[in-house]
Amino acid sequence: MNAARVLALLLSAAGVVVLVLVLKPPPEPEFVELQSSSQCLECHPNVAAEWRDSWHARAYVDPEVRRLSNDFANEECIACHAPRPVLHFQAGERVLARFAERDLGVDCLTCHQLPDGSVATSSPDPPAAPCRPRHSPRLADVSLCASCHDQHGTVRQWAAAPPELKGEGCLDCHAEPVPRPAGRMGRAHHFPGGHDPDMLRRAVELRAESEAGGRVRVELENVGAGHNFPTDERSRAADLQWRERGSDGTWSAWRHLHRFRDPYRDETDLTNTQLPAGETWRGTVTPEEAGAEVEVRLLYRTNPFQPDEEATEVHRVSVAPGG
Amino acid sequence: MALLLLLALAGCGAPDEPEPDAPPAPPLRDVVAARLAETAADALPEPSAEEVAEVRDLLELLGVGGRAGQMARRELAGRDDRRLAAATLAVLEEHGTPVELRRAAHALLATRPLPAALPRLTLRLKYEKDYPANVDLARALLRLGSGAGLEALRGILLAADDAAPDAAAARAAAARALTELPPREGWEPGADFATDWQRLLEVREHWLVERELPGAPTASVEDAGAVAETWRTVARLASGPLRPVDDARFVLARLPADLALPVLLEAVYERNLYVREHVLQVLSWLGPTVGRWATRRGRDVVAELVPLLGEPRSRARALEALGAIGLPEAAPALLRWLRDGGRDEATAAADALLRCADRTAAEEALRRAAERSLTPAARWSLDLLAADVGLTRAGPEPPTDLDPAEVRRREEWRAERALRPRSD
Ligand code: HEC
Ligand code: HEC
Ligand code: HEC
Ligand code: HEC
Ligand code: HEC
Repeated sequence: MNAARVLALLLSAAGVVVLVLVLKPPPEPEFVELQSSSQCLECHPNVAAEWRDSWHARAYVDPEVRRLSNDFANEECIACHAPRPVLHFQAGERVLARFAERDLGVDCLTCHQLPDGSVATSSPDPPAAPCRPRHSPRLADVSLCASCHDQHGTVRQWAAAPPELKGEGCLDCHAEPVPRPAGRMGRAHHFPGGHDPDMLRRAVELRAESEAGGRVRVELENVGAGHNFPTDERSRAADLQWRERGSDGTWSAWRHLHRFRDPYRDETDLTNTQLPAGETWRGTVTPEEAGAEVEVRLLYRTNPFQPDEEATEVHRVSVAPGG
Repeated sequence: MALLLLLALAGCGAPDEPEPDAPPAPPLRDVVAARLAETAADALPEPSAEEVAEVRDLLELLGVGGRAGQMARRELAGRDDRRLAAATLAVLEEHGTPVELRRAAHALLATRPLPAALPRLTLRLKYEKDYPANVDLARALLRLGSGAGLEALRGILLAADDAAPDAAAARAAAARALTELPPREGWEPGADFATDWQRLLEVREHWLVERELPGAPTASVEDAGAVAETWRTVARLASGPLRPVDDARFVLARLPADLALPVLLEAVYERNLYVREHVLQVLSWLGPTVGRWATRRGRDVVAELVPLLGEPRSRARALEALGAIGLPEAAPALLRWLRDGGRDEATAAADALLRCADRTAAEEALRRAAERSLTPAARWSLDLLAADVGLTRAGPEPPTDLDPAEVRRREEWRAERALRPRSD
């Protein structure tokens, strides 16, 4: 038997196997009627664990939201914090509040349920599964996030971002690829944002350098957020502060240098000072003692009144004495 | 006796009685567009920028006093009511109008109350923080048949916050404003503060429950301009940005019942989902007030709303509104969705039954609930209902798997059962 014949035989055998696979219908899984996200949690434990750790899962029980919405007596707050499935609405339409299981917040059904009761997946060739996955291009599209995240312009800011930051969409930065048990790749469902110190660190770069005249030049560049820094929630504020070390070796108190923030709508005397994607803010500080060591830090506050001790220190740089 | 009970049960539908599967789709229409077109001539005119600037200047001059003030007063007196009200409202609605001007504008509108201004004036209650301006705002509303400003008067009279600008003067003005409350036999306005205060509390209570002032109905509810502006408020419910939606809901929930409810009950059949959703929401907020008004006016509001249950996207909201209104005849429609609805619908139906069901319907609800799985929220609503109609003896314990805010929301609904239209 020569090599060519062996190969031909093998190929035809493989062909038979392939044919058998094609002709034999895969066992149809029994469909389950999906009424509650708690059903998804049981069958998708990996995704479930990530989601439970996310702010989406906390959207209705978050104490900060509870406080500001008067325990959701303010019903207009329910619409995005415990919504009906987004895909039951047209892209660009506002989402509306649901009535059951509000404590699950932004849950699996919110992002995945299609109007016919099946679940949306971004895979063009969905597996046969009890939850009836169906391909929907809207799932991985920015418009899904826009249903809730464009109230203060995050999606519009993203649309205007430079191409190298923009990437394909929100998932690029907010949902890392992760391996799933079935041997396919999935997307992490933590959706980290302003509460995550690592996300904050990668959002911006802080630089300080001494200049002529004893001044220190300070720069903050948005190198890693595909939208303004900070974004979305108007309560967020990021502050640059600086201090100097006197010749006796003691540090001065921290002094305010600049605040990045989109003011509340009744703060009409303030303007939006968020830092757009790819842009750099520049300022200078002049220490009282010429040539003193200077430190500059960036604090991130989840609300504008949060005291320094509770804020997240994102970056700190120092400029050596006389340097 | 047993036979009677059986008959009563049969009357509200045995569980295995066949019910039509898909209810027919309700006749949705472009209600709002049609009404906006029809009422265009009655709505307040859109003032030009110059007109607004002029009125602004005149209001400023009023504050100067002397000759100039007198001239301004005469000039304003000669102006057309509708154009003047429209321009004055525009001044008030502009961002950053200084407080002196706002006071002058509210004082002017209080002396020349125009029914068409009622919806937009009502919205000022949400944004106006100045005490003296609020006193005149409340007076204007009162003269237009609305008690929506009484809360502000009460707040000013109770407030210990003397740091507020002109707090003492505002309190005095608020006390004087009480004499303008609708009269009652035996009450002599202005005779002494204690009885005036008592009258304020009475009128406020009546307003909160009925959305009307005691005594004769006021002209504004029949006024074509007021109706036109109410439709314009409804139109804002379709907005994409949330601010106009919040504003419109705020106003619609605070207009006199005779003005708002006929409009809302028509707008509920609007084709635009967002208008339907938020109109139903406002009806739910008003709750028993709607049922009481319908009973007074002889309208079968349950029959008017039930067809909306045929529209899947509005169903849960319609169930909520039917329950909130508090009329027991809504129960058969609710019971059906308690049995057949998805989780959202069944939960909304159970919540609604808590708010309107009588003992018979409650028994039927418990029977149906036993046949299917329900959310913890729905179970809690039915537990509270069973306790309230005396089907269970001990006070129920909330389910441990239900969020405390959701527990409380339903306890409040149980307490509100006392306000149901026919509970007294
Ligand atoms: C009875 C078990 C079961 C339930 C309940 C269930 N799923 Fe699934 N699901 C599966 C299985 C099995 C697969 C196929 C294997 C895989 O991709 O993990 C699958 C696949 C998927 C996929 C497609 C993944 C791909 O590769 O394209 C998505 C999306 C999905 N499920 C979401 C959900 C959501 C959302 C819910 C709840 C609304 C849910 N599932 C409920 C078992 C279940
Ligand atoms: C249009 C959708 C939408 C509505 C309506 C809405 N929110 Fe939110 N909310 C969001 C989104 C999206 C975020 C997340 C953005 C972020 O964290 O920056 C958020 C975040 C928040 C946060 C920050 C949570 C934290 O952990 O710091 C608070 C507080 C909050 N919302 C309160 C409210 C209140 C109060 C209302 C009602 C007046 C409301 N929201 C209505 C979409 C909405
Ligand atoms: C905020 C919206 C959102 C929520 C909430 C959400 N998902 Fe997803 N999910 C997505 C998006 C977007 C994708 C598609 C990612 C891609 O393919 O690029 C996805 C993908 C998936 C996939 C296939 C890829 C993977 O990671 O395995 C599964 C399975 C899945 N989701 C299940 C769930 C379950 C179960 C829940 C609830 C615990 C849930 N999702 C909650 C947005 C969401
Ligand atoms: C149905 C509304 C809704 C949708 C759709 C939605 N989100 Fe959210 N998202 C929220 C709400 C509400 C919060 C705030 C929850 C809280 O903190 O209480 C939030 C929070 C976040 C956060 C902030 C986490 C933090 O640290 O504060 C990020 C990041 C985020 N979402 C990203 C996304 C992305 C990306 C998408 C699209 C795949 C998406 N979301 C889709 C409603 C939504
Ligand atoms: C290039 C990466 C990148 C892209 C693309 C991106 N983000 Fe972000 N996002 C970040 C980083 C980094 C942060 C943390 C810093 C901040 O809050 O700006 C963040 C923060 C957030 C937050 C949290 C704000 C808060 O208050 O906690 C939300 C919400 C959010 N992004 C939504 C989105 C949405 C929606 C999109 C798509 C339109 C998107 N992001 C695209 C990197 C990105």
